[in-house]
Amino acid sequence: MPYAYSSELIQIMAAKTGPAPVLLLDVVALDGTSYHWANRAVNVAPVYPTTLPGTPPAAWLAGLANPPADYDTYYFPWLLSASGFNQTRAMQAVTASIEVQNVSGNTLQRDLMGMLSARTFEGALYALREWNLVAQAAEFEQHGRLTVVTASERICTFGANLLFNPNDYDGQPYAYSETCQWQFGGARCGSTPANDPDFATPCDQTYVTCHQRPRTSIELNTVVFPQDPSTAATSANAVVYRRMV
Amino acid sequence: MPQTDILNPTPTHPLNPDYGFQKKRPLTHLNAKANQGSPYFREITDTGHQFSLSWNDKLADHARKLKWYYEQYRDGFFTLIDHEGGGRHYVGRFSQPVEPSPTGHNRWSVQQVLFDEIPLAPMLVYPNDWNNDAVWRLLIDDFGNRTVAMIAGSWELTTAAAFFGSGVSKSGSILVALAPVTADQLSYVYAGYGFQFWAATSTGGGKANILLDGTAIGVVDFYSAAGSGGNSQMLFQAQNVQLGIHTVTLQPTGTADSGSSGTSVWWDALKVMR
Repeated sequence: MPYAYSSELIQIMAAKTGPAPVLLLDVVALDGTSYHWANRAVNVAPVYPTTLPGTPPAAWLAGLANPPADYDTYYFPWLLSASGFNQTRAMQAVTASIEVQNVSGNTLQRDLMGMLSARTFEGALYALREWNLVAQAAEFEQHGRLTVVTASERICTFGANLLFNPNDYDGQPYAYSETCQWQFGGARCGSTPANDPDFATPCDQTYVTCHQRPRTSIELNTVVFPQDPSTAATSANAVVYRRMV
Repeated sequence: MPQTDILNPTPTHPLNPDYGFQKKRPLTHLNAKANQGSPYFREITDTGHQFSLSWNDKLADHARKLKWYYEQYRDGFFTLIDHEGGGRHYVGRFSQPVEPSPTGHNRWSVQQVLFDEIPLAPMLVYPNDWNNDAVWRLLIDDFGNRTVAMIAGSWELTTAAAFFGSGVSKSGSILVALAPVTADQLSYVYAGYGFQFWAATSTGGGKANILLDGTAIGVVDFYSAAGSGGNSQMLFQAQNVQLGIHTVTLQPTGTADSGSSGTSVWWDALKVMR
């Protein structure tokens, strides 16, 4: 999908100086709790209350010495890096990498480790934005699902998969073939003694021997023979033949 | 009892290392910091001090003895006293071979031998200079993050002035359990030796067990007839603790001195020997 920049954003992005953009990451775990992480502490930020609805992790928030006044307008500075977000013209799905710090917390337990063990982040929805502070607009935005790659003593690495991922789709479940994949007389074939007077002679899985051509599972090759000028005059028929094996 | 074997028992002992040896403590913590955020901190290891020692112009007997200390204790530990550093004891071992080299007739030199302090080793004299060597470990760190874990129960974060009506806590805040039961516990993990527990006393204070690594080591009484006016004071000290990563747990007993009007307990700060 083409990404539309406002003329103001284009102008600001083209400037040779200015503050570095901020990476904003919004996550909704599978239990519906939401998390807002960035690579700087951001208050009063444009979060995703509508597109990524979630509920704050109340128990964890209650344990903070200084909880934000409004959880959904505050980004904790936990995001160490986000890389590998590629955009291609092909339907190519590339897993990006998001690194979140795993150090903060009280001296007994890490914040993120507690969240990872209490909730399911495998498949959590995320929205990552590269936020231009001057323009107050996103220079880049991607939505997808997280997968937990590793959680070490310092960093938790998430894999980030785009929502549009052709690898996730079921395609043609059968092989493209000129040989029918139905068993003769089976439910998918449909030939029965009642509807097939030639039932006693099974097909040999080819189109020409098929007794139930409307139900055949064969990909027919369409072969176009180049028209020979010398024979064109003698042929009055169509020159496109179906190759029938 | 290898800790009783002291390499340099007196300041004038011939095995006392030369003046000005390097003392350092390798990093024992992790940092994580976002590009534009405040850093987060976590103790992860109990590595001790490390000294680089030299002995110049020693007799052959002394050089041989240094070599013996390496051979004897390369899989153990002995005590080294830092006489120039206030007489503090360290238990550890030479982590590199002692290789004396001759400098003259019956004169030997031993250069740059690393002495590594060993965690979890008993000591003859535990570090006790609380004014110079101990550091505060507060309820809330300098960046506003709470460092004490609430294991269970209802603990209220407040200030000394708000709870006692006056006073200043070391941490700026205190965690209070008003009518606690035994399950209402707080824990703090630190890297170091012993610790002091600091909090105010009050006419309504209760009692709590202090646990070190899960073992009860004493009782803190938060009651005093006059109270401390909300000001923090040292209520408990555990000095003879081996170097390591330790967990201090405050476990209310739900009881109090007969003169107390309540059983409340609270946590202000620890002072940890490093």
